[in-house]
Amino acid sequence: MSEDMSSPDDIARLKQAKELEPLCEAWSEYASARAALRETIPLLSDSDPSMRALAAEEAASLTETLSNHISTRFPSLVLPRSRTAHLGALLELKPGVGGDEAALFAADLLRVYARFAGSVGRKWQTAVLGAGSMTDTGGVKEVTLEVRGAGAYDALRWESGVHRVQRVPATESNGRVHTSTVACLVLPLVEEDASHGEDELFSMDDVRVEVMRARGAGGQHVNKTESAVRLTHVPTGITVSMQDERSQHQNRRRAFQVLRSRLLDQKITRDIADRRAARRSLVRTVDRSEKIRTYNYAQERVTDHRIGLSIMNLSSFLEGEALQVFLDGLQRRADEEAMEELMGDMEKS
Amino acid sequence: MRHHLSVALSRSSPLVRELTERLASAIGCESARQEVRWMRDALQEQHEARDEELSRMLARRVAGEPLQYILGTTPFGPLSLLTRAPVLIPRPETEDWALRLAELVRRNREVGQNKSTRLKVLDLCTGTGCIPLLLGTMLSGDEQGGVGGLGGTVPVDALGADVATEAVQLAQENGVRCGFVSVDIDVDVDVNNTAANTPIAKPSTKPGPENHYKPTFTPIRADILSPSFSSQILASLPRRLRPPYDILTSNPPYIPLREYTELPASVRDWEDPRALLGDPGADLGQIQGTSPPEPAGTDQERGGGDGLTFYRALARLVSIRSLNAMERPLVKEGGMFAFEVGRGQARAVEELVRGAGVRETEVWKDPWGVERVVFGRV
Repeated sequence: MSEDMSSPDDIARLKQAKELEPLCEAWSEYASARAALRETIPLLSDSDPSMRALAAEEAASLTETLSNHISTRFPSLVLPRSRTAHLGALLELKPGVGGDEAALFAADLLRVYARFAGSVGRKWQTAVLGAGSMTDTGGVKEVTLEVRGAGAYDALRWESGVHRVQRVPATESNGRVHTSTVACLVLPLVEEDASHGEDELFSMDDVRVEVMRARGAGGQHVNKTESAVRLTHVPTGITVSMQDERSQHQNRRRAFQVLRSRLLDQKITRDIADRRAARRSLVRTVDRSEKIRTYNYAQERVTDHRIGLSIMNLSSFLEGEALQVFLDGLQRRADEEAMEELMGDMEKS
Repeated sequence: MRHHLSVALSRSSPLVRELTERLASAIGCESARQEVRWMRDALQEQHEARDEELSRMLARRVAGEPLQYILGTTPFGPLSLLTRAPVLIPRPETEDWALRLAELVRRNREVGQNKSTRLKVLDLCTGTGCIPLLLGTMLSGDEQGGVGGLGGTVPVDALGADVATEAVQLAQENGVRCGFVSVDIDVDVDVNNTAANTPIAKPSTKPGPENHYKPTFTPIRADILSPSFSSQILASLPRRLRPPYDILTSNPPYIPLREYTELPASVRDWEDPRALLGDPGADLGQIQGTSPPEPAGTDQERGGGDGLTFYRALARLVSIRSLNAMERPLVKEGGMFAFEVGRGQARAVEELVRGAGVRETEVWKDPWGVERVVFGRV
C-alpha cells in the first residue's frame, strides 16, 4: 500500500478489508471459544468437585457459543451482500377496493411511511409526488413517496403488496365496519446523475413523450398553465404521467426518474427470477397482488400474514414507529430463505 | 410534505373557501386544486402563508388574471422568469421549440469548426426575453457545469428587441436574474430616433475577460416594422451586437384581428395587444382604447387581416436578394432562423421566407401537434 493509502488499488484493498471485517471478527471469536473449550475439557474430570461443576458450566456456555456460530453467525456471513443497498426508494400507494375509504387509508399509510422515513436517525429525505390527486374527502387517488438515501429501498421493499384495513370509516354514519384495500409498490430509486453510460436502462429513442390535454390553437392564443406530461416506454409499454409542477421541464425530469425506477424494478425482478430458474428451485416468487398485512382498528391489531406476526398497538404503528418491527422480521425471513437456497445449491453441487 | 388541500381548506377562512369554489367552477376542480397549491407554495417561499394573502391571490385569479402574473414568475425550461402585466407570458409551445433549437445549435457546433467563437443571437419581439435567455442558458453552460442543461460551452451574445418599454425593462431584469450581463450601448436606439430618450438598456457589468464564458443579453427598444430597423438601428450598435447574426429568432404577434376578439379573457384583457395582434394597422383603438404604433408599408402590410404583417417584415430581414449598399445580410451564411407562428399560418410564412430567397426551410410541430415554427437555414 502507498503511504497515504489513497491510490485506487489501495482504496479497493481497503474496501475489501472492510468487507472482510465481520468475517474476521466472527472467526476469531469462534477460535478463542474453541481454545477455551479445549482447556476446559480436562477440568471436567478434575478431582475437585467444585472445579468440576464450574468447568461443566463453562463448557455448556462455550458449546452454545460455538454452535450458535455454526448455525447462525457463519451462515449469515456467507449471504451475498445486497446489490441494491445504495438505492433510495419510490413508494407508490393506490387505493383498491373500498372507494373513498380506501383513498383515506392510502393517505393514512402515506403518513406512516413519511413519518417512518423522515424520523431522526434515518438520514433519508422525503418528498410527495402526485399530491395533486387528493380527493375531496381528504384521501389520495394515487400518490408516490420519494425516499432519497442509501438503504431506503432495501428497508422498504417488503412493503410491496396489498394492505387491508378493517374499520368504521369516518364517512360511515351507521357505524358498520368496512374492509378496504390499498396496493403498495416499492420501486428502487435511481439518482439522476448516477445513471448513464452502460448502466442506462433505456434508450431515448424508445421513449415517447406526450403532453396531455388539448390546447386548441395554443401559442399566443392560450395562457393557461399546461405542464402535465406522459412518457411511454415503447418496448415495455410502461407509462408514467406527471403533473405536479408548474414546470413541464420539471415534470418531465420527475417522470423520467419514475420510469428509471420502474425499469430497474423490472430488471431486479427478472434477475431474481433468472437466478431461481437456474437453481430449478420452487421458491415462490413475490406476488404483488398478495394480501400482506391487515390493520384492524377495533382490535388495535396489525398482522403481517407473511411472517405471522401481530402487534396489538395499531396507534404506535400509525405513528410510524412500529413499522421497524415488521421490517426486521421480514428481513430475517428473507435472509433465511436466501440461506436455504444457498444450502440447496451446495447440496446439488 | 406538501399541503393537503382539503385539510388545508377546511382550516381556511370562509372567504378562501368560497373563492376556491368559484375558481373551480371557472377552470375546473383539478386545475383549481393545483393552482391553489402553487399559490400556497409561492406564499410559503415568501413566508407569507397567511389566509389574507391567499384570498387576495384567489380574488385576482377569480377575476380572470393569469396565474403567472399573480405569482410573478413562470418556469421556462430550467429557468424561472419574471412575469408582469402586460408583457406576454412565455408559452409552453415556445419553451418546446426554443429547447429544440438549442439542441440543434449545439449539435451543429460539435461537428463544425470555430467551436470557441461566441454565438450571435438576435431575438425580435423579445417580450420577457425568454427565447434568448433559454438559448443562452442551454448553450453557455460554463466549464464548471454551469446552469446550462446541454453541457455545451458556447458563449452567446444575444440582442433582444421589443417595441414595448415594459417588455424591455422586464427582459433586462430577467437577464440579470438568469446571470447574464448586458453589453454597453452608447447610442440611443429609440424607435423614432428621438434624441430626447435615454437608453433603456443600462449595462449591469461590462463583459471583461473574467466573463469570457458568460452569456450576454442586451434588450433594446426598437420597432422591427420601422424601415430603418436594420440599416440604422442595428447597424449603429456595438460590434458584438451588430449584424450579421448566427441565429435569428422571433415570436412576433400573430393573432389575426378577427380571432383577437374571440380570445379568452385572461389573454385579451391582460396581455399587451402589441404582443398578440398580427395586424397592427387594424383599428385596435376601438377594442382597447390605445393607439397602436403606426407601421410603415403598404395597406396590405398594415394589417391585411391575416395576422402576417410581422412575417412580411421578417422575410425582408432574412432576404438575401434586395440588399442595397446600406443593408448587410441580417443572418450569416450558414446561420439559421426560427419564427413561431399561429395555428394555420406555417405554410404561408414558409412561402414568405422562400419568396425572400431562403431555400432550406422546415416546419416544426409543437407537442400538441400544431405546426408552430418555420425554421430556415440561410
